[in-house]
Amino acid sequence: MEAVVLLVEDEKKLRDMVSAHLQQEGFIVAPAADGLEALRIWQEIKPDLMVLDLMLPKLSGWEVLKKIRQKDNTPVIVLTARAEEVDKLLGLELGADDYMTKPFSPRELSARIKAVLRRSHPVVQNTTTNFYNLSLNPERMEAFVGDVMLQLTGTEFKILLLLAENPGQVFSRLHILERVFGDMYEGYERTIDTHISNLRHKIEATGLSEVGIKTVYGVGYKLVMGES
Amino acid sequence: MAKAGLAKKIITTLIVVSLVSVLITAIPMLLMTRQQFSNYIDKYDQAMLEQWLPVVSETYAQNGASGLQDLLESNTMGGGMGNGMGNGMGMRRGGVAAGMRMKQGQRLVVTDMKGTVLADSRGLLLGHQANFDPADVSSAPLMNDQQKIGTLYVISPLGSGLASLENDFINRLTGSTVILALIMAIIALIVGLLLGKRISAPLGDLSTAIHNVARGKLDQRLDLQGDEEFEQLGRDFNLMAQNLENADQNRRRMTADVSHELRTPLTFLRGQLEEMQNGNVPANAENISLLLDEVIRLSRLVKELDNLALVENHAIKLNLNIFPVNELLERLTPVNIAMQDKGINYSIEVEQDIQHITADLDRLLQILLNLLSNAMQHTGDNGMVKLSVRRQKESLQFSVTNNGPGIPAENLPYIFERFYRVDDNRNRRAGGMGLGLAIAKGYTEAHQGEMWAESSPNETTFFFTIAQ
Repeated sequence: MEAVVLLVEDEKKLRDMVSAHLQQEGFIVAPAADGLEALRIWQEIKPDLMVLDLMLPKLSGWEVLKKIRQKDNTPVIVLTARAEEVDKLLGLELGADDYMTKPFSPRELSARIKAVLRRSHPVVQNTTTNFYNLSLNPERMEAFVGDVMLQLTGTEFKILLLLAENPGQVFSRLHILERVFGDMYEGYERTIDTHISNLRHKIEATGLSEVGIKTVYGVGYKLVMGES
Repeated sequence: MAKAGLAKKIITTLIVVSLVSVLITAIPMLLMTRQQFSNYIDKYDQAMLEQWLPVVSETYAQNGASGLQDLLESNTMGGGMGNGMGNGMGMRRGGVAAGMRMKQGQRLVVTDMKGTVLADSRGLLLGHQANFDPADVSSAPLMNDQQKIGTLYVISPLGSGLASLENDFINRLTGSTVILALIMAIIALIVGLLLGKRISAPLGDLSTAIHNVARGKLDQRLDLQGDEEFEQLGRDFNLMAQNLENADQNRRRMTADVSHELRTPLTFLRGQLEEMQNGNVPANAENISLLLDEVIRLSRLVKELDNLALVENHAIKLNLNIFPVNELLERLTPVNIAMQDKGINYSIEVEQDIQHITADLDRLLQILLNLLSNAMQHTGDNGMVKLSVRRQKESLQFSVTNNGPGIPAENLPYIFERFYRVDDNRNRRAGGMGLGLAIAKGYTEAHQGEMWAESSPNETTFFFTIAQ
């Protein structure tokens, strides 16, 4: 996708890092370092989405969000340091589309951006994730091996989607747990094994699979071509 | 300065009060004395008048003015030194009788209707115009056949005599009042000094102690002696200082605990990264994944600290919703799996009539996860963990029971303190950071509920309620 993302973050180190990651993910990134610059660029280029840090010099993220909401509904994902601000952010008052609390994972940020974009352009986007003959549609929570649909639980689908979006990439159990269940389940890493085991059974049961979930000893799992 | 001020005020007040009370006592006393004296004289003179009136009237009627003068003179001359009292009594018994005597110094004057003196027991004013001050004399009209024919005056020796007596008495009374006032003032001064010291000394101590606390000497304690109010003040001050000290220690311990929690993962990260840099450890996906886990844990710690700060500032904003019980239980699936993996006999009992729950789902989930993780870690062999939900009047009561070795009674009061661990050597990975129970309790309280624990040597139950 050639979506244009306006990235507003005053810390250069973070801005560069996130910017590089988003470009890697196929976004066009317009960086801004403060609130005023953000508003100026926003008017100039009308981005598809804005990633907005709240703590900004010159004009705070709150103000930027207010001003933007007075004009239109550009999707905005807010970066905040404090969880307590979330209600206000997502409420009617400011109407952010999503938020991430720092510290956050750039990879998760790009996943959230995709999700928000999917919501704002539901028809146009082709959202299916494919890896060999495995294909996943997040909208409809449907997974296919070839043309056989897998009967997956919500959790299993999310795990498979995470692995399929980053094929070949090792995910630790904790990492999967955090991304799939949220970060409050620390300590339950081993439960991922059960879900993976169920996933494998379901994938293998089709008898058609060209992919498999590989155990990386002492670390976690990755999706690879061939049998697990 | 404050010390002198208070003492001075007390002394001044006491002196003023004592002087005022002396005056308040003395003035009516003086007035009453004067009143009593004049009443006495009036009564005495009146009695004289009543004695003499019939005699004088009769004599005047029979003998005229000259006879009257004779009567008065003769009575004055005769037996003037006699026992007046005896005569008086005799007279009263005998009615109008001759031989009545005037008292020593007593003087009778009779005037006609025009005020001209007809008779005077001392003979001084005969033929003159009588001009008496009504205050000094008593008088009665002389009657003859229902007609007023003149006036009888009694001039009492007591009038002037007693006046000087009275003045004497009053002077002496005034004198002793002044002396009394002085003595009272001195007593007031002494009592005031003692009282002032008694009041200002503890206040001085208190002031010093407050200064010390303000300068950061939080171990300052007071032992205020004396009155109940001061003892109470001392106890309150000590309580305040104790709480401040606790809060301060808490803060220090918190900082130390946090940096301790950060140190281990940071050391690990640094060590691993340096090894990768110099090539001893390959920077492959697997090894990086381990580093990432450490970072995820650090991020989690930061979030937990954030939550803890919210809990401790009572700044939790609940996102209350009504949701089916099953939604909650579904999100607890990882617990079921983990219990199964560990071979723990895990059961869930939800009362039949509980279909929906009103709560902040994420926070309730967090409470349960914290308690269940805790139970899972502490259950014994043939482990048993039970989650129950019961309906109470206006709340739901959750309980999480495990059959582990129990929490020693002396540790029970502290388990909800952050970073508190009964067993300090417990595996950090499994045990979390020791924030779980503190946060769970805070979340419960945000739900207008409470959390407590009961423990016996082979069973421990955590209870909590949330308002519905």
